[in-house]
Amino acid sequence: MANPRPQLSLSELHQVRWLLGGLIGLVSAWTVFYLEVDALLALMLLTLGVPAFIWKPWLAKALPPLFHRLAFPLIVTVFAADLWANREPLPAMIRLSLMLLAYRCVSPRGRREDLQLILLALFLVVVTGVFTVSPAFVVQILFFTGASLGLLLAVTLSDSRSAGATTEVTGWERVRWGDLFRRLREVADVRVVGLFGLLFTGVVGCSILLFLALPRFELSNSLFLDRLITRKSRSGFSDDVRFNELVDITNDNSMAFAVDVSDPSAVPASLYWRMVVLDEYTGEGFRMSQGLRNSFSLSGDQAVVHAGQGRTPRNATTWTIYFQPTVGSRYLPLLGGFSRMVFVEAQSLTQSRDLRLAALQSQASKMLAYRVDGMEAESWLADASFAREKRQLPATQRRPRTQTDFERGLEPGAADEFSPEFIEDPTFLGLDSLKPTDRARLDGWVAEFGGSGEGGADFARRATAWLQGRHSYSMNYRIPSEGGEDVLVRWIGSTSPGHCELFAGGLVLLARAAGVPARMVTGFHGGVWNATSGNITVKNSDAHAWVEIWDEPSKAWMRSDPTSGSGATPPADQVESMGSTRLELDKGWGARMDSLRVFWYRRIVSFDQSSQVEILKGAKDKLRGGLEQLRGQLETGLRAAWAWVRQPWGISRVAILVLAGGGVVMLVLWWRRQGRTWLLSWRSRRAGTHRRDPVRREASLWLRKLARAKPGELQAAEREAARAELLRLRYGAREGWPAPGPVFSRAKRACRE
Amino acid sequence: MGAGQTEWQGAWSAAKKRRGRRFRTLLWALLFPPRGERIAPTVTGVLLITISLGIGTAAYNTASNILFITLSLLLSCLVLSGVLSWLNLRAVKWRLLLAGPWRAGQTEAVALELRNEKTVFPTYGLWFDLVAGDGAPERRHLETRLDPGEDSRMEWMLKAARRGRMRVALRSMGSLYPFGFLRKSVLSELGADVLVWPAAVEYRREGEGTAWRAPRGQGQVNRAGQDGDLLALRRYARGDSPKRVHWKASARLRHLMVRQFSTEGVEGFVLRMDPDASKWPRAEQFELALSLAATLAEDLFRLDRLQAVAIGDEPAQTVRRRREVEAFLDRLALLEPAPPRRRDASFPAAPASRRVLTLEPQGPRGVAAMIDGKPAATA
Repeated sequence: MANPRPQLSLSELHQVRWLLGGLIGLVSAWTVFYLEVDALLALMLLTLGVPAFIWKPWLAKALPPLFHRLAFPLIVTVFAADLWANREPLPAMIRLSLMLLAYRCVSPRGRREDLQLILLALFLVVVTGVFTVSPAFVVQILFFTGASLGLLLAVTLSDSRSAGATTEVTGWERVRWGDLFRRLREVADVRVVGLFGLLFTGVVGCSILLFLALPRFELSNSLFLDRLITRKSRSGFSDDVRFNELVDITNDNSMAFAVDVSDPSAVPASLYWRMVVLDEYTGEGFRMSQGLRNSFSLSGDQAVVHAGQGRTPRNATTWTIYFQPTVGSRYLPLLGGFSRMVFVEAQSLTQSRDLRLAALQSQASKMLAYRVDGMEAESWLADASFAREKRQLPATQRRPRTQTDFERGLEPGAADEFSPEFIEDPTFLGLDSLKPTDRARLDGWVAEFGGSGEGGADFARRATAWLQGRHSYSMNYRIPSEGGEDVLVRWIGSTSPGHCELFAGGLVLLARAAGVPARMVTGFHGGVWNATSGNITVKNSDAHAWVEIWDEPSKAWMRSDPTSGSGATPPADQVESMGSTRLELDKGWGARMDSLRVFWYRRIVSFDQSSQVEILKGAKDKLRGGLEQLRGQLETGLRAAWAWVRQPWGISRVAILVLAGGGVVMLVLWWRRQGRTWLLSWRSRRAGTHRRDPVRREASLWLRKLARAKPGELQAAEREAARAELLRLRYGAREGWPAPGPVFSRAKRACRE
Repeated sequence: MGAGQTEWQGAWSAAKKRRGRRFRTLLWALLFPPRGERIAPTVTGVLLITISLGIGTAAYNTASNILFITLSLLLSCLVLSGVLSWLNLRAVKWRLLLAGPWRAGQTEAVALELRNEKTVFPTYGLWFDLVAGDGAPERRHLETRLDPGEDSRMEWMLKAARRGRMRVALRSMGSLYPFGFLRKSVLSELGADVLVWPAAVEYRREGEGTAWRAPRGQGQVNRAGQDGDLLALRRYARGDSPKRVHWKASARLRHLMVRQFSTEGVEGFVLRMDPDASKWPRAEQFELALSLAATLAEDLFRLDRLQAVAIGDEPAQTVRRRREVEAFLDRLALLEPAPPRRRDASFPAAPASRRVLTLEPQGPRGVAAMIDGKPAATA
């Protein structure tokens, strides 16, 4: 029989394999861009070289045999040197994979080499996915799956085609891509391609079902790969912040973290996400003193649930935070104290109950999801222990030890640094780095706006007004070279604009000069309400610094944000109506893209056993609801029918009943006599000349029934006649068919008799 | 089913026929597949399973949903592989076409006719293992795409080692389609018994045998009495070929008349093969005798000199048609040495116009065809 559709030759199949293998190699290598691994050179070589080899496959054949002989030993040597020099196994393995992948992409491949390429590519895609937890992983793995299956199919077909061949296929490297694509278009059958597309969609659907259904339980609590890679920290949220480091973060407009809130109406209009508290002024910035660091203690080693400072109140708002690794900090953003923190994966967490801060033992290398129950969002933090210490110690002793004192305590032969006598107090009043002249300037300014006053809150109000009166907010600032030794003092004394770090630092210095304990806090201020996904999105550009000042009357740390314009509320028309939240609305395209990311975090990354239970519960509730609704409708219908029956009967009602009954009987009779035959004929016409004609199949069915029926002597002739007609329907030409309906009826009668 | 063909068979019908339709049997067959029928992972498949196990362990160890997604995709790929494989084998039927005649030591063609009865999906990458007798299976691959509604054909060239009944069977069929993860192999019992005639031998004509020559320009005669010049018309006798009927003369005379040729009535032979074991103590000599008998039967029939054939002491069977010679060869194919006859037993007498050609041992290895005690051909 003539074949109307051409077939790909063996050479063309090799060309398809070459193309698919190259594309898989390229795309999987590019995923490494998302990782913080130094592999720029390998990536650049691969990006430039592989497309050239894909485009001109003869280049692969032109490589000298020496290249192939030396390639593997060379790659292994480079890997060993890399491992020895950097002592980082995973980055070295990734670079090794890139080199091997590049070699496989540029050298001629057989079945085994194609498999190696697929394995290397899978390794890169999965490792990148695990470390980035990025939504882009879905695109990457789907492309990888589709292309790999296509490659394996081409390998199977070409192996089958060349099963009897003894010689190697030649000539495939002289490819003309235009001709190949034209051939592919000729070879492709739209229906087959469509069905393959449907099947691939089915694979995705099957994967989703499997993902939802795979039983979730943990064998252990640690991701060993996590420890094989180190992320670069952002110093803006570290223990030691120098001026301008936080401002650098604000230039990044990407999402820092997203927050799901169980009750949007509980979200305050102004959100201050606290991450780090810095108390020690260094002259170049602020850092966390040793005393403050000592207040952190391990709240749980590799645990999922960590208790906070209090009990979970009933109906407490829960905050689920999806913290991006791009923030680059081990400190977690929190609004204040909390009662419980639950992680998706087990974590080692350290907490400072006085500071209401929580930090991981090491910086997260991937997106971290955690739920916080009973989080306080007030602008003050009660601190009974600090109040007690402050009351017990005279003012002269409240002055903290300096760093020099601390270092002196570590002399040889002295007690170790964890001995009680060497534990540093927090330096909430420390101004040791200032020269006396600068200190005098500060005292002068404090006196200018009225001294310490009645409490921290009052002082903060006056000092903030004083600062904002002298300085405006600007990212472009200039600090005069004269007016003091200290940078911050010079800025306070000037009228130059400044940013949040300068405002906050200035307020801390003024407060300490006035004898009011104060500390700088870094974190994020604000966030927008993503109207698409219904969550709070906080961007890196929301990074901020503010001050917490001790307010003696209330025995609490009061939040004070001295930065000009930072307390501005969003315009009324941009605030979500109906009182669900008071945050600024974001409806732009950026928000829509972020909503995809949030969906990914909510539904995929955070999916666990409880989510499975929720899904089952949801399905059960829906089923039950549907059944109850159906029962209700049935009951309503029956009641209506019963009410109709109980009404007084008249001629018209009887006529309606008779007509309806008659109509149903007629319909049933029509279906039995004509309807089914009509349906069969209609389907038969649609089937055309195909072997699986429904009329033929029906005739085949009745032939089998006739053969099984017990033969009756009286009806033998009738049965034989029915059989003959059925045979005509089964095997005869369509043009010579008797009417199928009567034939089947006759066969039915013959079987019955 | 036509001659030389088997019935159509598909992958599922082959399996069902053997195992029946009971669910328990099917389940048991999945756990312990019959010999030769199995789904075995290839190197690619072993890799996939190993990777799936590794990723699954890592996923459970870390609760990383990225790894769970990867695991789900890998498992789905296995499912897709199974579905595509099922689609590939679905509605594909095949049958064996056995051409004849089979003769020991000669190569014969066996064809497998393949039909794709699907409506949309083509079929790719099947292989079939065919075995003849006790020989090793020979594999053929479906190298091209078999489109829906199309037929394809594969051919094997097989050689029968010895005469007798030989089973030509499709041992199994299998496929690596679509991704080469699993090697699916289905046992098949499709096959047919063929009779292998004794091998053709070269012989030397001697004495009267030197006169056995085919008339000039006449290579092969299929029907008795067709060669030579037309002499006359005669009345139809039972056994005459219908092709010799002279229809015009028959219509004119109102009874059947047939053409009479010059060769009709020429002296013919009765070829008698005596399987008496006492005559053939050596098996290879007996085989040689059978081969010579078969070769002579065909040659004499071609020369229109074979009148009848007989085996042992049974009455001679008249040979007029090719079919009758083939029947004799079929019998030779299965003939075994018979127990020695009684001494007083004798062969039935042949008609006067026929001379008997018997086969006798000659020396320790040779065989001679004898006419009236004189050798006419030796092998």
